[in-house]
Amino acid sequence: MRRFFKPKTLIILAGLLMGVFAALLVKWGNPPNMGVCVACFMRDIAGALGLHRAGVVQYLRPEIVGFVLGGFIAAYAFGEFRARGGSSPLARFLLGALVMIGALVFLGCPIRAILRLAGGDLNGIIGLAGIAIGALAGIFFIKRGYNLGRAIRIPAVAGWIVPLAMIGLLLLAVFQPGFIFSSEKGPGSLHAALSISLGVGLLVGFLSQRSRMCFVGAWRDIFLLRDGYLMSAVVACFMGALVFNLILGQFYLGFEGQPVAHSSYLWNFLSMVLVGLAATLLGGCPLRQLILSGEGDTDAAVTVLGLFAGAAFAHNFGLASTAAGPSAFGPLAVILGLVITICLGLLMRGRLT
Amino acid sequence: MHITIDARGLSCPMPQQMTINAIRTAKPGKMIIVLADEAGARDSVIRTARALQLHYKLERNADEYKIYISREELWMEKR
Repeated sequence: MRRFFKPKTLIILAGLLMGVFAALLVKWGNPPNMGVCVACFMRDIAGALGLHRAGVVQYLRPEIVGFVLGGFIAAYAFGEFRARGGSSPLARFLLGALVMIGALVFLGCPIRAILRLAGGDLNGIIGLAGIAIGALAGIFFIKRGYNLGRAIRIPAVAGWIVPLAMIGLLLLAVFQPGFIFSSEKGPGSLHAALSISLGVGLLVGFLSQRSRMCFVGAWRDIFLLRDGYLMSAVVACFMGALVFNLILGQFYLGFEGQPVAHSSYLWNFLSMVLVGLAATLLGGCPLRQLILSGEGDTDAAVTVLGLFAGAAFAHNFGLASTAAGPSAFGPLAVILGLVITICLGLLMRGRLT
Repeated sequence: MHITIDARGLSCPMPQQMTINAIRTAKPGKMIIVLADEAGARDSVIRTARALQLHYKLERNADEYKIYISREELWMEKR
């Protein structure tokens, strides 16, 4: 198929629309400074499915479904759907869980770190600094020979599992059978209309797949390659969200009292170091893992399962933070997570044949 | 003659890192050929070549991509 957009234009557009729609989604009902947060939204889905019972964060977020299906449609339409797998799935599952735990201590994924900053939450800077340091550490391990091995082609049907499961989730979201949990208060009760959330997810998912948008790879490529292609989406996302937040009166500058956020500098930083490092070792941020899983990458799909499992554990074991600050065991989980991730970084160095 | 890097089935940023390593250790005049089997990896390797200001040529063969990278202008350079 012909390219309609130059690559640089496409990715800037993708980032810009992510930011603009994130701000608009807040106006349309999503939680403040959380128009899009892949970690929080996957945690909400885990809750809706009963994988955890934190009553204030349970909702089948259609944005996540949209990202996967939008990416799936894009991959299929452009001949990039490839069912593949087999590169260290269990390690990926674990790293995915650790990314989620880190994100829930910070109260945001790498996208939300940008959106929080674009809403005036200066703790976003601390989070972004953590991601950058984590990415640098990840690069160190990669240069030493860290790798997760090769994926091989597998039968196409295996690659259809995630897209079909997402359609199943969508049906559950539409029909809301009795066994699905749905918050009546708290962030899980704040959501835009289903069709709007789904529509934004599909559009952003489609553009993300085409442009390879990745909010951790952006930092990694700056340090590894001095290349700003992925970072241009991050900057565009920030600018789009900032402008629309200002227009919509959703901008409040400061560290304290920010919505669905805490201001513990140390744990905002360290939790995002964990996220940045683990995501670099995984080869992409949570959004990228969702997009890849829609492309037929079953290793990314296992990472997605790890993200869901991490969310379930985080809320079942009281690891997630609240606006009052980190929980009793969240910081310990972050430290343990960093130790485990560093061990994986040092020891997963299989020879590539 | 040339160095072949097999980046098939590898996650980001292994293809980029392997390409950088090959470019760094290649003697002048040597061409590097990177094999990739995913569009994302193909694009990453191309971005690596461009970031290092090298010439590249992309060849597609069914499900696999070959990216030729060299310091000299490659005949029939195409994207």
